[in-house]
Formats: sequence, C-alpha cells, structure tokens
Amino acid sequence: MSRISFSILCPAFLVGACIAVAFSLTSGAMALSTSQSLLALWDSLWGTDFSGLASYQQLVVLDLRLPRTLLALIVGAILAQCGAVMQGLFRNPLADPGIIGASSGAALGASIAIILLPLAIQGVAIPVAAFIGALLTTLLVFNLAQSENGTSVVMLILAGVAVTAFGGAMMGFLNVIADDQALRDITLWQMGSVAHVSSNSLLLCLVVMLVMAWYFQRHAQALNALLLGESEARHLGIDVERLKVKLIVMVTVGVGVTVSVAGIIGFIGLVIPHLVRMLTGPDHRTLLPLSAIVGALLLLLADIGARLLMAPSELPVGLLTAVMGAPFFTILLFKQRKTFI
Amino acid sequence: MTSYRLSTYYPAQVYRLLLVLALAVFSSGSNAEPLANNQHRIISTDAGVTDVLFALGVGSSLVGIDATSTLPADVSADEIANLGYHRMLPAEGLLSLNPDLIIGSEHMGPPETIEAIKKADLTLEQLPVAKDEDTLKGNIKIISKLVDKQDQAQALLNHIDQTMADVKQQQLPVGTKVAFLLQLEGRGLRLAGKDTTGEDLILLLGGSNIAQHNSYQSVSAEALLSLEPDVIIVAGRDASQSSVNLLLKNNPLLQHTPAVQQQKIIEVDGRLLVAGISLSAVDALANMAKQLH
Repeated sequence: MSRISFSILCPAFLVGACIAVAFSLTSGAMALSTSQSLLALWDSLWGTDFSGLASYQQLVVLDLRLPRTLLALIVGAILAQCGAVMQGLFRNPLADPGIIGASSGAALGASIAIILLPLAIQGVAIPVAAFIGALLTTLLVFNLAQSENGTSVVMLILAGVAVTAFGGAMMGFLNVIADDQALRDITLWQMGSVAHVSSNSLLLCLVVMLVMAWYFQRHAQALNALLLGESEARHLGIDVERLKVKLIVMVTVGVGVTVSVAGIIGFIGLVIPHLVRMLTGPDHRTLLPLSAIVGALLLLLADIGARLLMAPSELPVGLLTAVMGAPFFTILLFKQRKTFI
Repeated sequence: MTSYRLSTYYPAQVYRLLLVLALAVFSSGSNAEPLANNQHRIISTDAGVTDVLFALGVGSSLVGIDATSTLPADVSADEIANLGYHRMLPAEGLLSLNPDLIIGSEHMGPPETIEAIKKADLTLEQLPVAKDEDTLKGNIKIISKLVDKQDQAQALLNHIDQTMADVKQQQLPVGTKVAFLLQLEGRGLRLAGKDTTGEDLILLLGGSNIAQHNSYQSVSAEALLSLEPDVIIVAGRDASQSSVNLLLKNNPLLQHTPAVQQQKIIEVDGRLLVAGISLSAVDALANMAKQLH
C-alpha cells in the first residue's frame, strides 16, 4: 500500500489526541457543559472565575479528569513504545513486554502485597511490589537466556514462557489462600485502571516517559539495523549484546512503572506498533514517536469509554483495551499464519 | 508489502464499541439536578448500611449503592445508581450523583476517592464492620443521627436487644464444635476460618469454630469428617433450593458426621455474610438458634 508520510500522520494524530484530551476533560459521569469544563481549566491556570462552577464541580475537572487524562496519555505512550522496541529487538511481530515476564512478575508482586500485607500499607506496597516483581522476573528471564554465545532470542522467549507459567502457578497458590475480598481486589487490579493517580505517580510516569522516549529515539537507527538480522547489525558496527541489555532494562522500567501505577493494561504494546508500521513503515525513527502518540490516543479513548459506558459506575480500562485489542490480535495471527506453517 | 485498507483491519466489534462510546457521550445531559432542601441525597456503600437506611424508613433518599447492597423487593433498582465494588468506588461517579451524605464501611476506597469526597466537602461517615451486636447498635445510632431518625432507631435497637436475648437463651452447649460452610455450586466447599462473619455467627450462637485457619479456605468432605463437627451451618447462594440437601447430595460422606447424625445441620442465606453482623443477620441468628435448640 502507499504509505502515508510521517509529516502528515504525526500532526494528524497530534490533532486527534488534542481533540481526545478536550473530550476527556469535558465528559464523564458528572454532567458538566463543555464550555464550563474547559473554562474551569482556564480559571485554574490564570486565577480567573469564568466557569461559574461550584467547587466540587471544579474538583471533578481539575482533580479527577485532568490527572487521569494525563496518566492515560503517558501510560499509553510508554506501553506502545515498549511494544515497538520489543518487536524490533526480537524481530518478532508478536512480541510484547508481557513475553519477557514483566507483566506476570508485576501481577505476582502485587498479589503478594494484596494478600499478605496489611490493608493500611497496601496503597504504597502494591505499586512497589509490582515494580520489584516486574524487574526481578525480567532479570531472571534475561539471565536464563544468556550463554557464552550471547543472548538467544528463542531462549529468551521460552524462558519468558516458563517464568510466566511459574508466576501463574504462584498466583494460583496465592488465590487459594486469599479471602474473598483480596481475590476481588486482585481481579480488579489485574484489569488495570488509570483512575487512581497521585501527583507523585504522575510525575514519575512523566519522567520515565520522557527519558525513555529520548533513549529509544537515540537507538532507533540501531534497531533499524537489527531488522536486517543480528550478524548484519554486528557487521554494521553495532554491539548487539549491549543493545539488547540496555533496551530490555529500559522496557522493564517502563512496563514496571506503568503496571505499578495503573495495573495491567494489555494489548496497547502489541497492537499500536503494528498499526503504525502498516501506516508509515518499519523505520524506528518514525515508528517510535508515532507509536507513542497513537498509544496515548488509544488508551485515552479507552479510558473515556471506561468512564462513560456504565456511568456512574466504572469499567476497568484494561477490559476495553482487550476488547479492542483481542480481535486485532486474532486477525494478525491469521495474517501471519502463512509465515508459521 | 501487502496493501491494506484500514476497514479490513478493524472487525465489527471495534466499530460497535466506538458507536456505543459516541452514543454514551452525546446522551449525557448538561445540568446537575438541584438539591432538595428537606431531603437528603444519600449514597450507601455497604450492604449493612443500606439495610439500616431502609429499616429507618429513609430508603427513598438513597441515590446510590454499592454492588453488595440489596434492595427491598418493592424498590426498583433503576432508580438507584450502582457504583460497583465498595473498595474501588469511582470518584466522579460518586460526585455526579450530587449526594450530601455518604455512608460506608471502614473498607471504603480507594484513598483517592475518599480524598475527593473530603475535598468536595461532603459529609462522609465510615463505620466499622460489625462483628457483634454492640457495634451494630453503635452504627445504627450514628446512621440515625445523620438522617435525623432517632425515634425509629430506638425501635430497631429494642428489636435487636430482644432478638439477641432470645439467642442467648438458646445458646449451644459450651464446647460445641461448629463448622460454617460456604457452598459454591460445582466448586466444592469453603470452610469459614478465623476473622470471618461465619465465625462471628458461630460465636454469637455460643459454639466454637472447628476451623483454625484464617479467612475462608477450601476443604474436602474427608477433612470435614475428620474434624467431627457437632453442628454444620451451610451458607448457600441459591435461595431456590435447599443448601442442606444439595450439600448432602454432593458430599454423601458427611452423613457420618455427628452433626448430620444428630440432625444439627442448618442453612443460612449466603448473602448475609457480605456485611458482617447486619440487621438481617440478627434475625437469621434467632432463626438458627431456634432450629439448633
């Protein structure tokens, strides 16, 4: 197909994201008019009082909708970029951060915190445990895949499968000893949500996203070279082993941070890079930034859906990303079938 | 590279979802309802609190409940918004109901939602989960004061005192070993351990819990038989069939327990367990004590 140039797509998606942000700030369970919601934002920036909203209504726009909008954008951007890097690194269109055990490790860490730690410290303990879990499992998988010949991609994926299965069994054990309330907490936590956000976690995610985006962009050319094959990349002067370690550590930090703040949000990392690759081609210099923008946009749209579909109650956003992502993944599998047979 | 058209890549589900999304967005109204002067707009996020509010006659002031609350048969669920799981309450959803009073349990959450409620300057009351009748009575007093129904509360308190006095008169002999079972259809049995509402009910009946573990844990009929319970209480989920018959049909081995042989096996509505010792749990206790006496 004729690919669309980056210089057209990038502004187009940015405009789309801006519209989605405005939409996100003005829609929710509470019925506030669009102009009032936007004026509340203006008021808070410039200290004016144009919106005429009551203080609790301002609170809805500024303290509830604004932070979750920002978090959805940031988490979506991080996940989509991590997915793009993993797919490039493994030259495997089905790779996503879950494949190296990061998600299952994070889920295990969080479950341990939910079941074994007292309720009072869970607010802090769950994200920390999730992050540690993600880091430890990824390091374990990576170590298992190391040999004197370097890191084998096949070994990495197989070790990821094994560690994920082991993590699943541990989770099952925890579920057996958990009480009903903890079980329900775990289930909901695993479905992900961007509703529970503090300014500290928002700041942390923002910093991680910026550092990550800059770092990945610096390695975009190396990822492009890797598309030719590992030995070809080596001939081009790239230290492939070092590149893998550095990028996998960065992906783990990214995924670990998002999981610790928002739970497990599936399919963004898998789906978005493919979508972008179809639109602009596999050049990582354009793939990475565009994935970030489209990932942010998609997660924000999913979160708007999560807020509105069952209002005033809310759906976990991970449910909606899976509803959108799973059919896409299936189609992808069918497209790839020829390669596998 | 093969050529793509976007439409061939998006299945119908995605389009449908986007359509629903768009409809939901455009169907949301524009103005919040004004607050009536003489009536509260109450949100209850605890099944026990919801029970008390209806018993005090202020059920019509309820604008929102949590997923565990049950409404009386004559109240339509359409009129009262369901806010979901009480530990994952959506802050905006809660505020959108324009409440002036929110009552829930100590487990209400998440912290961000509690913080938003406090910032919005709404009256929030978080009550302890009742493990005995004194806490229940204390909670009723607090709720009745909040909704200005102290007179009606007195009648409820008297009823609780009277019922619990009856229960105490019919207490089980000291040292009676009681097993409290949660029957999950097709998924075996869960035995109530320490710090569960099941155990609270056993203790209020005067028995001692045969389980030594914490919370609810899966148990086999064989293990249960070896524990030799004198009394078995079964909490079922399906009120339409007898939980006792179902239990014995699925676990014939239990015929050999002292409890079944002395016909000390009774059932209780499993829904009572969600909110600790509630008003309906007190009535159920009286009923159970009578059956075991």
